[in-house]
Amino acid sequence: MSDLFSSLNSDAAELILSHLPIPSLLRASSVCKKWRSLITTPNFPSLCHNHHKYHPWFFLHGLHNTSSRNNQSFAFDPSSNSWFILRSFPFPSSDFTGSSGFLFSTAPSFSFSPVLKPRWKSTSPLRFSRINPLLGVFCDHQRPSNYLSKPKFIVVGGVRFIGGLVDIEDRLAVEIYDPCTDSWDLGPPLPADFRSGYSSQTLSSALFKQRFFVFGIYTFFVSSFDLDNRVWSQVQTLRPPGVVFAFLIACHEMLVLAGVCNGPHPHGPSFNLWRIDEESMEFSEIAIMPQDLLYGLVDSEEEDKFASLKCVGMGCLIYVFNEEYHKKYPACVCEISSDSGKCSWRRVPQLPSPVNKFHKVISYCSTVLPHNVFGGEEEEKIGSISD
Amino acid sequence: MASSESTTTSTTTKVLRLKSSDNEIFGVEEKAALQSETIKSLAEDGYSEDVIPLFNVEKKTLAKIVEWLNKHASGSSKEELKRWDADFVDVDKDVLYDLLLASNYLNIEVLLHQLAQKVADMIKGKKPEEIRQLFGIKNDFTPEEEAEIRRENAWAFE
Repeated sequence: MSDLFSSLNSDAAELILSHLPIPSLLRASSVCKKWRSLITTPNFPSLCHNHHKYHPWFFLHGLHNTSSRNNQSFAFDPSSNSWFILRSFPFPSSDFTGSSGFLFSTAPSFSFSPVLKPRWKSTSPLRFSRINPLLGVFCDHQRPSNYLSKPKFIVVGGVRFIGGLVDIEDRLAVEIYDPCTDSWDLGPPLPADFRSGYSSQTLSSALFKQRFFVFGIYTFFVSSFDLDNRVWSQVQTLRPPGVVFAFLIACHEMLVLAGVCNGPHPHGPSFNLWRIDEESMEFSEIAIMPQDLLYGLVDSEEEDKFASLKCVGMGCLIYVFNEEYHKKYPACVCEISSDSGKCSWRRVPQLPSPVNKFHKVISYCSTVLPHNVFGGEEEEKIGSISD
Repeated sequence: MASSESTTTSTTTKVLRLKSSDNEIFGVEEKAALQSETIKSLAEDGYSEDVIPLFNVEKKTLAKIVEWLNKHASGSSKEELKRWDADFVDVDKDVLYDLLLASNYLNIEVLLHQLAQKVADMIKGKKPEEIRQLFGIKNDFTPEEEAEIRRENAWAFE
């Protein structure tokens, strides 16, 4: 085997490398110059398998009670089933989030950065400065898109933020950012039905088929914003029997509702997934988390032990985790097979010790593509905004 | 499944004769053999009436390849093929190496992907030094260059 790579042509070597998960790819890029040049050529990402696209990573950032030096950031790669510690990750503020390859901080000014390689850039200001909005990343239908094209950002809801004060009553306009012109377009605000809470603390969102869906985690209202025509759909109710609270997730080919359910299940509450028809909002159950996994996520003594469960997902994966400290933020993941639609659950390994005690955790999932981790100047050019 | 139907309807069973570099001849049904793009183009070039010479593949490797071609033309269920393939690529390094070179030469895309995945699995989780050792690759970076690459994504190297 010793001279395998010297006998293979570049295409075959490239093929082998294209099967590696991102962390292995990074290590492989430091093996020799030949491998590095194969991996960092501009067309290498297109050879890589959909694997990267459909197996999003899970990120967890912890804000420490007293000292920002004790903040910690972790990233979980499902392909290598391992956690990585992101040392010296620059927290832009105590309110930021991630989505589809980007990190966002919305107040006091709006800024964004690629995931994993934080380089924050400020945009021109939002018309309505806000905290805890819903965020989405999308490509314009009209423009041809490839992995290098600049996506647009959509900002929905959130809580008005002026001079450190918040106004929870305000219904804020949708704002859409165009990175080519560094400008924001305004759209109609969330329908008033969502008045019990416009922030990401009570709403969950999913970008699916050029529509930005907003779902009330506790109110079960759902509406969608048409990204081409910029209008909200009529508000509907999406409430499978017994559901206590739930999150809406855009998976690879379907919209999924995931939540805690006091259903007819004989062993008490369960965590269920439903497939949602995006037009009629009809639901059909596709999976129930095994009880041992569910009870591995919570402290069995507590009365409202399920209340701190959160759920994020995209592609083929749905992550369920506990935002409370008890068991050091345990998580599990459900993989929805793209061929058969079969759901399989597994436990996510424990966070690498030591894990500090945080007063707030920020968690999201995002794809990590080869071009997210390679290339300094090249990416700088692509990601930069003309200012 | 669609693939299992096709086996019952295939009427012509033309056999192609493949010759290894060490002169062993294997008879393979055309349908199975044409999964190789290289054999396909050789057959189109008029070799199909007599023996198709495969100068780069030894008989022990060609025997394995023929086994794979036959299995993948047999109309087995997706699940069965998956299990069978997992066993097929579970071989020692030298055999894997020969299969990879042969499937690369014969241009059998599906097999090539399976073998590439298997080699990738060997690279996965290893440190750069271990990868170099495994494949006998010389480190041609200067220490400064290597440090810079590591610094860029330090988290992956811990």
